[in-house]
Amino acid sequence: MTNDNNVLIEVRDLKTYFYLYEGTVRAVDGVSYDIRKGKSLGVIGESGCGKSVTAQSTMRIVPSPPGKEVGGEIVLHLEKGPVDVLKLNPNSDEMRAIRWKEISMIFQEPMTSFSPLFTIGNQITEAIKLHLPGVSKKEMRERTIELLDKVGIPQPSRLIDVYPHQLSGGMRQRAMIAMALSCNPKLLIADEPTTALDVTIEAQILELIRGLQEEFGMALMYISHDLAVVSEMSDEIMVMYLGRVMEKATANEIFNNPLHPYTQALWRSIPAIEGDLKRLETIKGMLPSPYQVHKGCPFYSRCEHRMPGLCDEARPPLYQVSPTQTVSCFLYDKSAKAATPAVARPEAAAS
Amino acid sequence: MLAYIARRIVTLIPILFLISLVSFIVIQLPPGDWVTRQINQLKLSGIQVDEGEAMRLTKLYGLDKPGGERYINWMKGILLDGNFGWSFQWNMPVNRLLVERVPLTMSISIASLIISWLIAIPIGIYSATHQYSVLDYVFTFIGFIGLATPGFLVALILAWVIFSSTGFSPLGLNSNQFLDAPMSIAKFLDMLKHLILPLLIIGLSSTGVTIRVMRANLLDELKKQYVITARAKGLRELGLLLKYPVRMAINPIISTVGWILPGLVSGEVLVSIVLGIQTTGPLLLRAVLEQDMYLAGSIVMILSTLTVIGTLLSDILLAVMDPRIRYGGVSK
Amino acid sequence: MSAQSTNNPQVLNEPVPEDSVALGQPEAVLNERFYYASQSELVWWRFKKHKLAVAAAILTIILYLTAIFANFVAPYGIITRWGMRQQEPPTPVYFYREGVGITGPFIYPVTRKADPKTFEWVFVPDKTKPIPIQFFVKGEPYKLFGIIETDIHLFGTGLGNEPVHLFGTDNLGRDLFSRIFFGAQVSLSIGLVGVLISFLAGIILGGLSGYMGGVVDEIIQRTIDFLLSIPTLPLWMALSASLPRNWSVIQTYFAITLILSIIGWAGLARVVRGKLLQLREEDYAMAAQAAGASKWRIITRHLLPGFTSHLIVSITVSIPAVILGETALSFIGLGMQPPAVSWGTLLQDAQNIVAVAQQQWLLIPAAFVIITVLLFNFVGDGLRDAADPYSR
Repeated sequence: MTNDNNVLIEVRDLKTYFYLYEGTVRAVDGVSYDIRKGKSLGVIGESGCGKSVTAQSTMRIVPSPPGKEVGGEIVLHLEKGPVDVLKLNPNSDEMRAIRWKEISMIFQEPMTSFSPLFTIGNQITEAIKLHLPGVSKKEMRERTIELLDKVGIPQPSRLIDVYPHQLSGGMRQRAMIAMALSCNPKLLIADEPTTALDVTIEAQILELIRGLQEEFGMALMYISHDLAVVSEMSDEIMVMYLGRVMEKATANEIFNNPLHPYTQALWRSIPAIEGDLKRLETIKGMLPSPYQVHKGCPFYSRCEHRMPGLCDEARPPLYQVSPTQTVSCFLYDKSAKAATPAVARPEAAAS
Repeated sequence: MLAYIARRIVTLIPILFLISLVSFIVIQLPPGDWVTRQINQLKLSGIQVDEGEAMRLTKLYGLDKPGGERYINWMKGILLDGNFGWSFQWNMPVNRLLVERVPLTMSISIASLIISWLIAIPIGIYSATHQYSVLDYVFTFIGFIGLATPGFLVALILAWVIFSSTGFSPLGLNSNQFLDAPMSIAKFLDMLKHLILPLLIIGLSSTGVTIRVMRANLLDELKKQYVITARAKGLRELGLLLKYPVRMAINPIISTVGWILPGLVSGEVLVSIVLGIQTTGPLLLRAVLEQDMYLAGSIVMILSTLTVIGTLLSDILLAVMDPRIRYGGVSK
Repeated sequence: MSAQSTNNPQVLNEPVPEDSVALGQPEAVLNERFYYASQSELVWWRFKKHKLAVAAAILTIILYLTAIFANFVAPYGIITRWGMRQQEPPTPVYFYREGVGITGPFIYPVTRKADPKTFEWVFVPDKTKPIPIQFFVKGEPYKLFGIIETDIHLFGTGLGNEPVHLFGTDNLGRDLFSRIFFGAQVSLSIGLVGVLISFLAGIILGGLSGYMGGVVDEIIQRTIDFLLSIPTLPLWMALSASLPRNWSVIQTYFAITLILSIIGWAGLARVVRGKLLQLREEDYAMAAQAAGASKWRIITRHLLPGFTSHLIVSITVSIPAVILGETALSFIGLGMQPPAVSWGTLLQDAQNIVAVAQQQWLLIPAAFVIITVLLFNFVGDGLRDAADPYSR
């Protein structure tokens, strides 16, 4: 536990498994990270790497069954003191009070994240009613209109009464952001909020989220499979692969000095704006079956620098390479196999 | 909304026209017109009818005119005077025979539908939220049996079981002692006792369908993003379930009325015949056996028309419940 | 992928990316034959996994076989009467005899006496003279399929005056067991014939509607709407009123089948048209068109295979409706007329609740109807699951 009172949330060794008929999926398998108040953490990885499940575990909204948080802790530093949300019953009053009030979330699919049967205004005021008791009906409505205005919805006093299907995808995502901000959360999780939108609208939404983060002084957890977007949105970046953390560093370090072979491969697979035109590389091989249990590094089968006998036999720990950069790869084991690797203190990365 | 209703009513017009046309054909179908049949019957009972009298009757009822004109005349009578024709078996106008029985058939059918929903929707919700539990399997199986079992045979079997185990005859609408009694609380309760069995039996297949549809829809809806959004907002699980996915899952059930209601009315007619409830069922059966075709054709027409109107009402109800229909432009 | 995943929650999708499941698993290689199987093979394999549906299909086939060989299965003829055995309850069959132990099946001969108090008939067994039930026994002569002359029945007592009535007798002293199997000939076949007529009409009109479009489509569509939105039973009843009473059994049979099919085709036509229009828009049909395939080739090679399984399902689930229609009409006296036998006409005897209270066995035909309908539904359910290529 850290004594740093700027930390908002500490996640330690989180494990969330899905018990499916076909087998167990270790969607999140020992993930640790911190987010400090008002700062932003970007989470990146291919689909299936467990980034969304990590976020959902934080809010305890992983569908159960089949999903279950089987280990670790998620300590949330609230005004009244620290709470481990994994120890709470997901249906308890205490957990429900945390949702939206402390942590809120924007989802990937603006088309389906509102119920089509109720107006936008109804669904936003519902959250206010739930978490800010004592607010009058008129105030709730005014606050909702103000929020809609803030997220750039034109004619908010009219559009508050429209149904979701009457709005475009971009407008719906703006309404979703307004709803996410309705209770002044300490942490906003944005789970690929622009994946389903056009590129032009994507830029607007990203700018909106960044501006609002500053204005509201929230921490932000930004999840995406787009490395460029994540490095633009985040102070710190966590690279995930098959439920594990591969590398964690500042945006600058990930951009200029990616250490993990997976991070390097990710960079090579996106087009650079400057420099020579060359053929883009893809990451070799296939994503292994999600049911497979890896004794060693999960990236082993696709890694260019793999060391047989080592990487496929033991799980690489997180090595502290710089004060802000940690990487889970035996390539950075300075003391070779003999010495015990210096297990990195993840909180050090946050400073 | 109004435009939607207007559009629906316009699509109704050709169906209503076909209903009237088919009903008229039904009336004309038996060989020989009814004056000839009437006269033959009179002859059989020993009364002599001369040719002139036959001609007079034929002219009087317009039976010498071509089919198209007779159809128009019949429709004119219905639309302008509510005159559906003459029942010679009862020797009175058809509309006077039907004025009590048609409402009874329709209210029993609709009451069965509502009861089947009251039973099936909670079961469907339970089954979907407790998927693969023991009770889910039990309900799914019961729903399946209900869906497949013919109501009139169940009526036959249950009537026998109730009669032989309790001595209570569930036949008819009233026990014998109340038959001619004026309406009283005791008579009303007795009527309810007689109505429970038919209402449940007529609604049996609708119950089966609704359990199935509700369970499948709700399972789909529970996986939708908006449910996760609502949960992330911190809503209580039960309130969330009822406000969001259940409301969504009920809408398709309202739209099943279009094909459930015709079956319910058919079921009502048949079960009424089996259980001797004096609705249109036994009346239609007698009319058909006696070839009292104005009565039979009118029953076909009125029941069909009311069923189609019932479906229209359910569509309007659906539009009230679902803003996507109300405001048009449904996007998948 | 994207079209499908939008409906699913992201959470469930994420840990199980579809492409990685198929490609990453070693079993994929073993399941290679799945990739080369035809649509009908896939449907058949999936259907076989559905135990209840397979069992129901086997029982349905057995039921139809008993109807085809009704002359052989039934111990007695369709109108054979026992003058002194009216309203006899089902004959008990015994397998155990005191002093002898477990034996083959046997019955006791009964004599009918009037109960002196209630004046009701009672049937008194004579326990001293057991009569064994024999299999492949000589009985009444009959012509199998109307050609092969024989007198061998599946079972019987072999004695003309000591009959076995497994399901009892009716008011005229006729063997209900035998009559149920003769009735099955009408009841079961009317389902097939009726659906066949509906099917042909449905395919032709539905195909015409989907193919021609315009006014033809409009007229057929409105007719379908009309037929599907009205209660069918009153119309059936009214139409059957016009059947002349003096028609032969065969004439009535086809007339009733036709009346039942008049409405049945609408549902099938709608399925055919809807599926045609839907499949025409599918990417693979577009792709075939873009690749220059002829219209005929697109229909036969690309559309029909995606289609037949749905048709088979629709047909299977419409058979019970026709069977029930005939039963209902005959039951209320508007369908088949005695002396023709169907399950519906047999049930006419059960209309009187007081009679049923004394002769419960009169309800046995109802059990046959219900079981048949359930069997078809089980088979249809299994087929429906198997026919959907995207279900698991």
